[in-house]
Amino acid sequence: MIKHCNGRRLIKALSASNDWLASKMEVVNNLNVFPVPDGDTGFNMSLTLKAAVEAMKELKDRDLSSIAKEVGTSSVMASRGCSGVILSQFLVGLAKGLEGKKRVEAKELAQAFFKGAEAAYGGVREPVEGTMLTVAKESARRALEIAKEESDIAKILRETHKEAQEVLEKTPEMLPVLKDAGVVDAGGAGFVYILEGVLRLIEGKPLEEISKVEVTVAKTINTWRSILVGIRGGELKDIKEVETIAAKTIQAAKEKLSRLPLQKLKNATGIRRVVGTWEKVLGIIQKRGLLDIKAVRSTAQRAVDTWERELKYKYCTEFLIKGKDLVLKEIENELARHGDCAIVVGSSELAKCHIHTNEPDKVKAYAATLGEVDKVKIDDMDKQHQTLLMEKEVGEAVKVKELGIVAVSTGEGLSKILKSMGVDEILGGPKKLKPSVEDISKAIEKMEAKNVILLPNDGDIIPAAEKAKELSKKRVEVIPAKSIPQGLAALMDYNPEGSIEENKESMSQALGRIKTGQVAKAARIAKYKELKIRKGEVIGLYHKEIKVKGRKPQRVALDLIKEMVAEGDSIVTLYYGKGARKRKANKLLNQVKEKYPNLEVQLYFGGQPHYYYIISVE
Amino acid sequence: MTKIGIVTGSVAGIPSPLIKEYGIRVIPFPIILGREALRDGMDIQPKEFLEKVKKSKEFPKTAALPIGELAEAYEAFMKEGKAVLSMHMSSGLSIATHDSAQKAKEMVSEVEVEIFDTEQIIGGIQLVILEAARAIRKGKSKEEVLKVARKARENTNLLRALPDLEYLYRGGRIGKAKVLMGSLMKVIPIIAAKNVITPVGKGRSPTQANEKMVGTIKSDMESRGAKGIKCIIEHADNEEAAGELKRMVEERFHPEEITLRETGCCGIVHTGPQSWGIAYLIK
Repeated sequence: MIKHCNGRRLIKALSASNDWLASKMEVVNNLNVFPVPDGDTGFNMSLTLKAAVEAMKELKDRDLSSIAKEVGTSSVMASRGCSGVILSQFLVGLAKGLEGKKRVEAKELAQAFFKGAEAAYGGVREPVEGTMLTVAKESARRALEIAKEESDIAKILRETHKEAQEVLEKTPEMLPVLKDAGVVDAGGAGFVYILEGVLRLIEGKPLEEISKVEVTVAKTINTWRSILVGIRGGELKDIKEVETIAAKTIQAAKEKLSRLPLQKLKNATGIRRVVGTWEKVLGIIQKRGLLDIKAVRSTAQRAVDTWERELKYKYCTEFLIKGKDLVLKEIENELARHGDCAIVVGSSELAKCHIHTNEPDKVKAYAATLGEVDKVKIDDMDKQHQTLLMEKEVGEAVKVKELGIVAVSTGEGLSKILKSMGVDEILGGPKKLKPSVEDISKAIEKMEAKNVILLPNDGDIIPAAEKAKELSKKRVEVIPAKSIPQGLAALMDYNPEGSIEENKESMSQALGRIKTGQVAKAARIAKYKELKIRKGEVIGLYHKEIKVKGRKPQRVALDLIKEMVAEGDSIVTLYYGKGARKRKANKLLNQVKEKYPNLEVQLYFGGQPHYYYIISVE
Repeated sequence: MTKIGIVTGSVAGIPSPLIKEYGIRVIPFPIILGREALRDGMDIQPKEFLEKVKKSKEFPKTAALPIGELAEAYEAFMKEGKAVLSMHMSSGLSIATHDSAQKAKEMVSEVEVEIFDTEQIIGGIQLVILEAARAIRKGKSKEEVLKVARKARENTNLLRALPDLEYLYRGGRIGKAKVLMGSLMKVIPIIAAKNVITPVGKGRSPTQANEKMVGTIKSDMESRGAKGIKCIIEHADNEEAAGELKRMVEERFHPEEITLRETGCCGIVHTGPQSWGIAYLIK
């Protein structure tokens, strides 16, 4: 039975909250979708509380009132992010409730707690229900109610925590974006952990816990996304199929887990997440009673949308105003009428303005009435959410781009490399003939891009590419790359956001920087300058001239590289083809590295026919 | 005439002899690695930090500048009878830093504080700050110092080679540079940072990356009719590449000033181990 709270006990209680919240930081981070899904709520709350607790511990005066006041003040100073500010306002309110007291009993403590919740509300310009605010308010109400008859603080806390937990579970009903993403409110969860920390202290439970593998919002949304893609692509036609896929995926992952040796099991977070997210998605489908594929589709769509919300204001607009007697607050208020995130900083002579708006011109015109407007920067904001960026490609819709690239390739490895460097469409391949004018024309017209760059990657194909350019109504440019390495060198300077003119210039300039050689088997007897070549011998070509010959491809490659390397070169790249073995290629890589310790040497699988190796030196 | 003191964040990475020489007050950015919160340059130095990052499974993050510490620094200058010039990293890349400075300013309304957006990151901030610090030392008025700083800001640029783009991505600052991601070939992306991050190109080796950076500087100098440059070359555990860049810059541009140093911990958080680059001010 705990009958009163004093300074010493408050220190213990808040330290416990702090430890427990810190231990749950990642859990809270993973819930964060509101107001912006940036995954830092737990982090912000934890650091805010941590600073307050540290300051409180350093205080010499240990009476309740002073400690509470210190906690309030230092949490405001340290507050971070929206959730941190709300938490600090709560602590300030709590301190006000404890002002002038050395010890309090249950009723007074509950009243102070309620003051805290009130202060948290008061600190926000536009309070939103379904957030930490609601959790604090409802649990405070409950605390007040029980404290009327109950004097054991432990009991009241237990009830208050229970209420907080229950309200938290209801947050998705109050705030639709939470429901769509399938989470409870992150700040609310943080608040529950703060109460829970104190409860665990009283109950003698540990204040640190190794977190289980958490199902993150990002991963769950990705699972929804893959379902959505499946539905759009016609692979998932009814709800049974979705359930089957989910069950199969879960089962396969579980089987994989069961086969893992014990010591590896601990780290198998990836596989466990797969199980967790699919189970969660399946749970949602069943719990919400989704009956048909349409309902699943719209649920999936809404979940994905929470991470790809349309921006209300499209343009991030920034500029400087040089003037006299500028009133920053006034400017900020005026800007705020045209959008959000208005920030005006600076001095009365120079104001830096920042606003997200749909009316950049109006904002600019207003600014011009105040003084000289300078350094105007208007950005069309990407609606990406950075956290998802990497995993996003899956569901992205096909859009008509400004610029696209068609390149010719001769091997699967080379095609993959070309694609990873920004090529949209590959022509040719190991078994195909060299592409004709018609093939190239088709590829140009098929491409969802207004402007097209052609990389023939073979001297013999350049004329066909030029002809295709003439025939097309689109704006087409040919970069006269005579080999795959030349094409890749050009791609190093490709900027998908630049204009076709800029790209033509920079990419063409890159061609001259690289030397290309090939190692192949001689198809017939030949005499080339002083070299007599027998059929079946291996030859090394450099700029289409036979430079060296021998019996083994690796040996010939080494000799050829010697012919190619000159002063100022820094990279040798080897692409091994169908006829070369990986092991031999790796051996060659090591030999070249040994021979040229100052050069960067890289080996890739090209998969080209005819040539054992394509070699470039730059 | 009022004297002026400069306050900045540790992300500039200004070496301590210079901090002392010009009496700059540097507020450490909090760096979070796993559950540890470290104060940049106080609890941790770049070498030790790089080791920690290597060992850690998690990616480091930075948190906003503590408002309280900024306010204290402002007050400390006021007690010395100085006005404050609070010079910070690009607001385009970190509006939070500007916010912190603005809030700190509001907290100590009795102090004369001018918040200045350098529009730069890491070494670029240092270049702009040093120009201002020198003007202050010459006894220039606040207006004149600001004019110098604005001009320096206009004429400063930063290029950086990032062998591992993951760090920039994790920091949420990748912006348009995302086009540089995901290549199957080993490439070293190069970015320019001034208010926004923009891709400059790619190099396949450190030497190629250096050539690209030098080429970019050259065309920048030509288009601005430069008379000379001052520069800072910095690196995160890649003295070899940075050293080569320094030699190339010395040979081609004969800079008025050139220094080679390590990037601070805060800079490393966003650019990653092995990254290197140059901040240059065109005269």
